[in-house]
Amino acid sequence: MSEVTTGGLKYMLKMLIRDKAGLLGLIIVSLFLGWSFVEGMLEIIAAHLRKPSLGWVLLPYDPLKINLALSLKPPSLAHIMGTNLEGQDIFSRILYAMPWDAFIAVVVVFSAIIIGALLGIFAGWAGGWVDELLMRITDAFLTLPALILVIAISVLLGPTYQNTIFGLIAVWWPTYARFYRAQVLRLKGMDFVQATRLSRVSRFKFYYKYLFLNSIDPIIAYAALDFGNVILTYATLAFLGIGKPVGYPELGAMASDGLSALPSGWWWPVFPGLTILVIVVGFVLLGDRLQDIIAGRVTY
Amino acid sequence: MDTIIFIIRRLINALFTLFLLIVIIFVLIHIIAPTPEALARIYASSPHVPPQALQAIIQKYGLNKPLYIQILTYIWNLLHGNLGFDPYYKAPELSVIMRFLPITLELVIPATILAVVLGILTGAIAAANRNKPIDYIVRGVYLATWAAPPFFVAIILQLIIAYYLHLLPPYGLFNPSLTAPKDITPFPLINGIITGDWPFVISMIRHMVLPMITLAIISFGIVTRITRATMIDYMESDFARLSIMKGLPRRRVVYGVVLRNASIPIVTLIALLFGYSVAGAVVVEEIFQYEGMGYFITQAIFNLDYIAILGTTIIIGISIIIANLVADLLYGLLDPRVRLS
Amino acid sequence: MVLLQIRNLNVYYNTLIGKVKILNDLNLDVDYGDIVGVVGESGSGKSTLGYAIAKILPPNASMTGEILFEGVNLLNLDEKEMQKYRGTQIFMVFQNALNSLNPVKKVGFQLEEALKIKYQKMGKKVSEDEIYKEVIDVFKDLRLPDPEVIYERYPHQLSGGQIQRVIIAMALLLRPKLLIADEPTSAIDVTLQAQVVNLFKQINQEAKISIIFITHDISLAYAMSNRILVLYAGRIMEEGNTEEIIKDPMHPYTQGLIASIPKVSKSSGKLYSIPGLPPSFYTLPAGCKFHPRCPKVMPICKEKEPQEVHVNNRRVRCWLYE
Ligand SMILES: Nc1ncnc2c1ncn2[C@@H]1O[C@H](COP(=O)(O)OP(=O)(O)OP(=O)(O)O)[C@@H](O)[C@H]1O
Ligand SMILES: [Mg+2]
Repeated sequence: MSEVTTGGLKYMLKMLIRDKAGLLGLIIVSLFLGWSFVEGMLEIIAAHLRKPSLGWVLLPYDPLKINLALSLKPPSLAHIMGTNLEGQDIFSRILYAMPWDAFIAVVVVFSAIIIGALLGIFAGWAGGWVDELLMRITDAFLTLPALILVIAISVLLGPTYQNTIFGLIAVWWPTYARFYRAQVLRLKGMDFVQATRLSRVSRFKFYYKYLFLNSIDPIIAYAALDFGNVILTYATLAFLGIGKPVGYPELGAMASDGLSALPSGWWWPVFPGLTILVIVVGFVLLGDRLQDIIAGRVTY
Repeated sequence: MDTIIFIIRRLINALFTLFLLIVIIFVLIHIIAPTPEALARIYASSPHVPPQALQAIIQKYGLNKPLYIQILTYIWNLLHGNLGFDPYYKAPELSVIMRFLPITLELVIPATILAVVLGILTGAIAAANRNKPIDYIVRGVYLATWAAPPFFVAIILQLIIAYYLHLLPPYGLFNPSLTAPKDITPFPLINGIITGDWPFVISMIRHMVLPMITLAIISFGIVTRITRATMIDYMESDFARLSIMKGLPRRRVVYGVVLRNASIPIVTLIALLFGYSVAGAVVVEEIFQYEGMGYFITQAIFNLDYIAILGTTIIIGISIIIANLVADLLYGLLDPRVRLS
Repeated sequence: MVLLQIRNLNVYYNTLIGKVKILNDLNLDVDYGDIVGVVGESGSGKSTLGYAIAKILPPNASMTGEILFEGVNLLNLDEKEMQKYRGTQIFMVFQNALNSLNPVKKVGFQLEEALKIKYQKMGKKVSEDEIYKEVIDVFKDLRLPDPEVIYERYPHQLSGGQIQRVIIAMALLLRPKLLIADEPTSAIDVTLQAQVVNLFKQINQEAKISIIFITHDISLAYAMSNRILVLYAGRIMEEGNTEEIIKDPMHPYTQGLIASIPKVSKSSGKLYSIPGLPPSFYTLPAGCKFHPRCPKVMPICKEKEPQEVHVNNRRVRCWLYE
């Protein structure tokens, strides 16, 4: 199986497309991120120009317009996911809400990678009690479910959108710190690094190459999975009333509001939940497949 | 003897983790609220507190003392079962938490066991029938349940099983026309069994089933996944091959030798699963109006009740650390390489 | 007398990249009492051949052809029927002996289990005590120290050499007609190697067990076997009597393998090694698969693959002899 060289974005992409599940994941994730980018841009521009209607030019309906005459209409051709108590179109609201989830996933995962990389590399490089302490701290973080810790932190900070992002970052870095620490320890263990043949400069180059370039593939695969985890956790927080963006709908919060309409108005909480499910399935399929590809489990 | 040393080592490890957890939480709080006044406002759960009241809180909790003194004081109090005073229930925090915790444990422990059993079963079947239709079905199902937000699973189950099929009650702890048996243990279900109050026990179990299944569904996927992956690895291991080579039927190799070995890494997941279920319970209890820890936490979030949140976080931490210990012990029991080295 | 006849055996592995043919039109006869040495570099398909004979290929493999064991084509047997052959008729000792025992069961239990299956197949009732005694006796034969203690040990408590002998003990207890030994000396240090080699010879002579001895070391095959089969890229390059092959190797690849044996007499001077690397099955060259590394390469070698030809007592696949 060593015949197949693994690595490189191009290679990963090529292998992904060969596989139905991987391709499906790639399509879902691309649609989600692509849509979030376009809609997110529109929302930013709309907010800047103080012309909110610009934010929903691409949507079938104004997602914020209250029309009690349309209250709790079941899914139909006009409103494919039905309407909520205020008569707002649920499908439009879901599309309107998506950029906020995408943004939180991207920011949290990238910050976690950067913080984790810095701390992990430092711990692995310093060794000794620094290393021991840092690993103990990551242990302590990983003992509690992320959700519980973020709840605690966000409640202390005040449960706003920004504070929830901080809370998520605060608990999300330890996995990455462990990854990078393990990476450093592996490199330190290599004979030719230990041998003094390597000058200071080339040692630095070596570390750069292996810590930065060589860890890109596994990090991408893991991060793909992790985007899904962040989105799930955030949706759950929002469901509990933590971290909802002001003035915008949010998927978890929509589901929470919709509880009051159960059982007759089932579409109100169900469709936002289903949307999250589909998005996270996309990330999991993509991440799973990428991990297989990188681990060389592609041969069968 | 070895086992005892092993347990003691694990216990010390666990206590140190708990200590660090408390330190981390306090450091975070102090980053957020660097002055005694700011801290006092958090303790009072309100930004608008008259200055005298603030001073009173500072004096009461020693908020003007250095951080390490505060941490040590908190730990000292914790050792004496003192988690502070709940401003909403007007009672010691620990006693308030202890009212809600048993209800959640009664829910989460069976859910964890169910998730492990379900996960091992589905994972083993998928591995034994790799790349056959049943494998794809299992993988599809676990993927969907893993990716599903907990509230989504809860809502779907509630809609179908309770509202459409009327098989189980949609929410509540037990039929409100019944009265709970008197407190012999902190666990109402066990009290019901002890006093022989069967209508109550049956009502409670009927109300428990839906949230329990929800919790099992949202967490079993990881067990399925790891069981399947480990078993597939082990099926191609030399020891599995040698077992087949000896003349053992393949089925016996898969469900005996391979599954037995795969169960070792799976027990380490028990604590993780327990954690998932506890976290999931926060949402699930809200939807099923099940008045346990999760319900209590949701209330505390709404009230921004800092003492309650801190107390529950630490109690949950302790429960998970205990679950970890149980998992470690099971691990030692199952793996001679740990037991005998 | 022929024990095993392999006819036109092809083995494929299904991969994401496609179906690759590993063993290519392989023919081989193993007589009662034979020790056949299978020699080739890493990745040449030696283990695959062993797995194919015992029908324990990985799930992504498929095969065509015939494997006749005492006249019965194993390829036509289903799992249940094949189970009767495994253990008592055909047994294989795997390349990685250290991982061949179930880590969670005592060594003694694992040997007993093998014996019980054997007696069950024979329809014989044997008491626990007799089984225990039989295992201990074999341990003694193999000169394992403290047999009773080893019996109660878990695999991780044994040394590599001990595990190797425990597995050989299993083979001795089962007494198969055909034993496939895949690099049985790779896990142990050189001092023990000679001992293990002698053990196999002893098994062969005393218990009349035919052996297929897989190794990458042609000198070991020379020490062990009466016939040698040289495998390259899943193809037989040369096959014949051991003495003749070592004295007069015909295929340039065999010549290369022999030239790279370290010789005690010529301690000075650089050791020869075949230039280049064994090819990947995913990018096999056209023509003769060995031609890119062959010192005697001719134009035709690059275009057409040679067929196996019989020269005297020998089979060889090389354009030099067509
Ligand atoms: N399950 C599998 N799927 C795909 N390819 C495989 C599989 N198992 C082995 N291979 C490939 O088949 C070829 C032959 O493998 P095999 O293990 O038979 O070689 P070998 O001669 O025993 O090598 P070694 O001396 O390293 O043990 C190798 O290229 C290997 O990578
Ligand atoms: Mg091999």
